[in-house]
Amino acid sequence: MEGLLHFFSYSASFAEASKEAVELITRVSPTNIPWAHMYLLIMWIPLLAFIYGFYCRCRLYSVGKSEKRTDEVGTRIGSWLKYTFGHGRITRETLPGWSHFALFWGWVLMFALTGTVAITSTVREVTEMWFGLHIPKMTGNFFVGFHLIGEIGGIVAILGVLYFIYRRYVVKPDRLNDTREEDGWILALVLVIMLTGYFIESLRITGQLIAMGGGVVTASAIAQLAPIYKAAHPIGWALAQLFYNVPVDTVTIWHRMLWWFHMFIAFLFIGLIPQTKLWHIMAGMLNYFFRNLGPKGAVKPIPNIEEAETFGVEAIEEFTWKDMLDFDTCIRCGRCQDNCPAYLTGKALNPKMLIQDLKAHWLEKAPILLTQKKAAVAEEEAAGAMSDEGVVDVMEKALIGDVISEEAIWDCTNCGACMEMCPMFIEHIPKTVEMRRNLVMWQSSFPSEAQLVFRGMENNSNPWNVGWADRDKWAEGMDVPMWSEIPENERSQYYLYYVGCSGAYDDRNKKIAKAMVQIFKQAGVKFAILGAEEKCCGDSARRLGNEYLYYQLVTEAVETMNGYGVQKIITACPHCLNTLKNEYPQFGGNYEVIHHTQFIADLIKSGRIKLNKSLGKKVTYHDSCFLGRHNDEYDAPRQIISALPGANFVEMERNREKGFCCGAGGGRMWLEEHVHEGQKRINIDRTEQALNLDPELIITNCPFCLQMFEDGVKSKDLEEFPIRDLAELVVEAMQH
Amino acid sequence: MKIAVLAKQTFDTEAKITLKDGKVSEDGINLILNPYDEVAVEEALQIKEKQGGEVIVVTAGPEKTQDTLRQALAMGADKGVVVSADADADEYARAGILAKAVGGLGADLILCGHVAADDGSSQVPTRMAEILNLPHVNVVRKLELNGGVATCTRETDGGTEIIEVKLPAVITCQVGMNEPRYPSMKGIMQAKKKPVDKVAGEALANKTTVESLFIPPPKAAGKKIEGEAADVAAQLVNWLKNEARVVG
Repeated sequence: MEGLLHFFSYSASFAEASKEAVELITRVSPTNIPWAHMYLLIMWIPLLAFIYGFYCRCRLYSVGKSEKRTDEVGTRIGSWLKYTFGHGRITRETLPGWSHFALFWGWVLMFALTGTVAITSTVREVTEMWFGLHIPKMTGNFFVGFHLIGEIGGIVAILGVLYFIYRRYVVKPDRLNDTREEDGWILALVLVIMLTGYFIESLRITGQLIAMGGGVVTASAIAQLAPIYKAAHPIGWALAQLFYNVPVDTVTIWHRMLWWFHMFIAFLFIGLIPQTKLWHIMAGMLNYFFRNLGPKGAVKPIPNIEEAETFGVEAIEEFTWKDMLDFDTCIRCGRCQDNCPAYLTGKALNPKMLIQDLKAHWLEKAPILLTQKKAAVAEEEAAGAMSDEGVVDVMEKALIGDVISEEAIWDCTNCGACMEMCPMFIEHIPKTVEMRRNLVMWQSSFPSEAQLVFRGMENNSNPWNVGWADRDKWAEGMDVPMWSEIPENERSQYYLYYVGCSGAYDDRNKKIAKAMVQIFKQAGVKFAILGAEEKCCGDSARRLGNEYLYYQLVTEAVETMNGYGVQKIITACPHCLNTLKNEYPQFGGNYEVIHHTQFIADLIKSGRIKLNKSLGKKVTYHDSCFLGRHNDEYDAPRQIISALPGANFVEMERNREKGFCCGAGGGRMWLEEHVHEGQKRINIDRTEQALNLDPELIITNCPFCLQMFEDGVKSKDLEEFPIRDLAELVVEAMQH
Repeated sequence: MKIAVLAKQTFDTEAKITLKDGKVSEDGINLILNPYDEVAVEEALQIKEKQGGEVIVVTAGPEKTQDTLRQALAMGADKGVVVSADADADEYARAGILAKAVGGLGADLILCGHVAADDGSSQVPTRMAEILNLPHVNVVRKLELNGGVATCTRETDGGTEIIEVKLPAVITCQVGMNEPRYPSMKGIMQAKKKPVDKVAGEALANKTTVESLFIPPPKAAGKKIEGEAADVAAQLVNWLKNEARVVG
């Protein structure tokens, strides 16, 4: 008991600390803080607050539907470690990214330092007293080195925080346009914790110097401590000079007060994590662990759709727990907003606000749902709690309409820029698609243009509702082999050329299908088409939320292709590519699917086609979202361009991962784009981005993009401006 | 208000028509609800939504015409009636069969498309109205109901015609009257539980017979004459006289 009392009340005096410092090259903790060890008891308040807060947060996620995200645990742990400590997603933006890296790692190092100091100076006494376990003190070079790392970490973190303050309150970029009070005081809290740490250190050093000098700081005291503290705490040492002339009693008092204050706010920080934006630290790590490991271009199917009783998401609790974790992870950095074609052209959709609005509604509704659940168990509580006016308001809010506008839901082009740019792997598109599913399949409320598209796909398996029997008309006179005519035992050697609706029916895009036939023949590729047996791939139906129609189309297509023993597919449409490759496996269709640009790039590399004729033009290239972001293919098209003789290639500013959508993805190809006053259509914006480079030709790899650009140049009165698919340019260059 | 809607199952409007054994081949043909009748169903549903009532969809044909009814039921109609009829029944027989079935329903209003997308004869509703001795307005673009009177707006050459008619009446709908809704999954699921009555149709013999069916020959390519005006005129005259033989 006496030992315990001594332990809690013990603190070295400045003089004792100095003596030990010189003898062992170390610092003594605690120094000058009687009862400092009480922190071992006090810390349970913030720790329990943190644990309880964590638990409450998880309860809020439990409102959501189930979703399996616990497969491949090894990969998930790897993902968590890699993205948390590597910061790879965050540092893709240089200044803000590396500032966060600095803050994060500075904080980690400081935390590691503080923890080690606690173990090697405080805890060691307890372990020795109770368990006879001897933990060595941190001394000598190890002491100096370790403290130096922590000292530098702190400065780096402070620089990070200062940059964030500067950015949020001076630079004020558009994407930080929703600054809240919390943003300010959290930054201040972090900064004050770091700064007070340095001042405590410097006051302790001053106190020790004064103690060694017998009441004043002497040159000999400085000379004795300098090799230790100047090396281990260069900043604390420098700051100490500020206090050299302060009376020793004042230094003693200031040091103690600041020490307790620092501990108080540090504990406050820990306790506040689950209650404030600081939660992104934990939620972010959870999201790195639980992120989608499947193909990123795929949307999830509705399980057992024939028997389903609800379709899509109509109320916030119909989202899954992972969706809710997504809401909670969003720290409002706004990178999604900075890259969203809908937001940048003034549409109702803002991906950041989509997630934030969902989050706000989830946070107001989830606790009520939890109470209801409890009340259902213990019935007596039931009615009373639910009749509260505020509660009724929340419960009556419509997710679609009151929380998220239908307009915003339809604005999305599924381009995936938000998801690609999100440092936390938040999944925006699946949430939008779920709400569209509800609108289309349950409420039958959608832009009227889509109905024609659905009908066309239902009746004739193409969005224009052109007769299905005419699907192979484009190939007339070209001697294109039909898959049904290929002997069964030879089929495994053949590529299925999946023409897609655009290539088959759209006059402009038929030219690309024909170009592909020429390339195949020139290179001697064994290929065939399904002809009228080919179906619409269904991408637009799925993206527009008509999952049932998509399901019908896929089921039919898979039956045909599996029945025909199709193994390898080439397509010139990234939308066909994405769904055939990433989504058809959900329905038993497993094929090797290749985009025509990938295939052509290989033909060039292997010398099976030769490009001779010079193009002699300045060209730019537009990354389609479904080949680029959804399938990570940025290089193959560029390889072809660099192989085109006489193509002077210039990149657009928004390229590759940051490519700007043409406006036609997500089924928007078929919908009217409603432009707000003073704003532009997405395709016009993108066309202008291209034209600003003064190219003589714009290159695309997608039938939708091609059309959007052609409309774009037309609206600029440049009807004749050439927009070409890569396949067309390759055919031109193949000629002598 | 009780509304009966006549619905016909037709070929998809984009279907490729081929002949087999002197008949139109049904191989690989999608069968749909006649798009004009779809407008009639929508109109009936809108009236029901405004005024309340019941929408009964009636179709005549073989067993598989039921699929058509399901679509109308999925859109929101309350009940279906399938009257069995021979697939080859002509307009006379069809009108008679339908008149018998519809006459027994006691409908206040009978709606249907003004034409079927397949044979395009436009006779059945008119014949049926005649048999039922009901007033009949054809090709209506706008319909307003007010206390037992229907105000029908129809387009005529260069103008509009507004006709008032007392109910019950047979009114045929023109495309553009409304935008037929897309059935939701909720509608499709509910449609599975809605009643469909199967009624044996009257055995009426056709009054017409089909002699033969043929596909119109493809249009020959046009002829383009180029050159100086006088020269072109001379060539044209020569062509009209000697090749086309339309002038003497």
